[in-house]
Amino acid sequence: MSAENSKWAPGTFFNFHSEGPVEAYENFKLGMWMFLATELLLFGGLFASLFIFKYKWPDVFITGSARLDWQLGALNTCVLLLSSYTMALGVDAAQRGLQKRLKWMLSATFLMGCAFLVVKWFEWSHKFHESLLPGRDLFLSVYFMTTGLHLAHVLIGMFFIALLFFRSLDGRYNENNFGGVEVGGLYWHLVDIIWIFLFPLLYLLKYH
Amino acid sequence: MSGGTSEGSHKMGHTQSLKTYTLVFGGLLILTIITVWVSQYDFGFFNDIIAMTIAVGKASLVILFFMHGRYEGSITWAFIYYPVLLLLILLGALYLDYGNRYDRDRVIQEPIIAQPIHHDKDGGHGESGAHGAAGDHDGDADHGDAAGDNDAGHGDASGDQGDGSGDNGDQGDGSGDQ
Repeated sequence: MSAENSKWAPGTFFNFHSEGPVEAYENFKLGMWMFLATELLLFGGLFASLFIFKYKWPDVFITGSARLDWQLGALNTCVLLLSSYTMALGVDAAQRGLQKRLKWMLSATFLMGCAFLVVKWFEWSHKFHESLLPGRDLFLSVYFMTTGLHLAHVLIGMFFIALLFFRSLDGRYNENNFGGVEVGGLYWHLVDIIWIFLFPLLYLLKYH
Repeated sequence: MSGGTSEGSHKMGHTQSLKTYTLVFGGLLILTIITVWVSQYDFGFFNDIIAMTIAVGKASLVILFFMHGRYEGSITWAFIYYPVLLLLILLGALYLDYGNRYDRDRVIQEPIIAQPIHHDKDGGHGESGAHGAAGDHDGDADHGDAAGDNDAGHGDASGDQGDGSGDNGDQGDGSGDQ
């Protein structure tokens, strides 16, 4: 493993251009930031549609929002914020070479992702049970599209956190090699940021 | 990139104290509580503005501290600002368009608002009561939904109207919705 690793710059998955380790690390991060910019535009289009529909047909959104359980939405907000916190602490642990803490923090972040899925399961199954399905009105379409796309990002993020956890078992992440953890963390934080915007726009529309 | 050549070239990343992370996390929770609290008051148009302002504040905390954005250089920040700028242009243009339309153009058709269907009460017969309790719709949108969503085609859906199988997306039901 270490022999194979030595071909790559520390802190990266790939090093196609044989940069120095710090430059490779910076480029690795910048690549993720660029990808996150496109993610923001992807969700931004959905937010724009939400604003148009809400402006044109406010009753649909007020009624639809009132049928959501804002307490579950707030709970999921806190769960994701906590997961971002543990992820940030995981990156910090990797930066300091604290192997045990890194593994604990990655596990905690993954568990928070699972908790998010459980809450989402209760929310959606309740909606499905009442036949409140995407396509029945504009709010439901927007709700399922935005939260569904967000859910896909949660699942992808959880996959990468699990990957980081299993990679961390051999103790490869340390002061000179933590780019993988940091970049995975960047993605996970974006998932949190998207939800920060989704929560008030979908759950708290009583007077919007 | 942090300048690339000056100080970033020999050091990988930056560390913050655990206290910083914890304080930021606490701040995020407090802002979440404020978001919920402020949403129960009616500020009209400004509810959206307030909610989005708080959300931008929370996102900024996450970017600056959790994502180490405050140590990032100008190239990274260019990739933070440019999608935000593009989104502001998009939303601003849409607002100028829709915000300046006449009322008669604003609402093109009466919207459909989906009502819950409770399958567990003796087939479809509980529905009319549930819809009556919901109050605002007894029109054809509900019956269309009932016919479309109930698997067996229960008695009331087929009995009340014949055209329930049609797509109700374009027949505005016209019954009062506020």
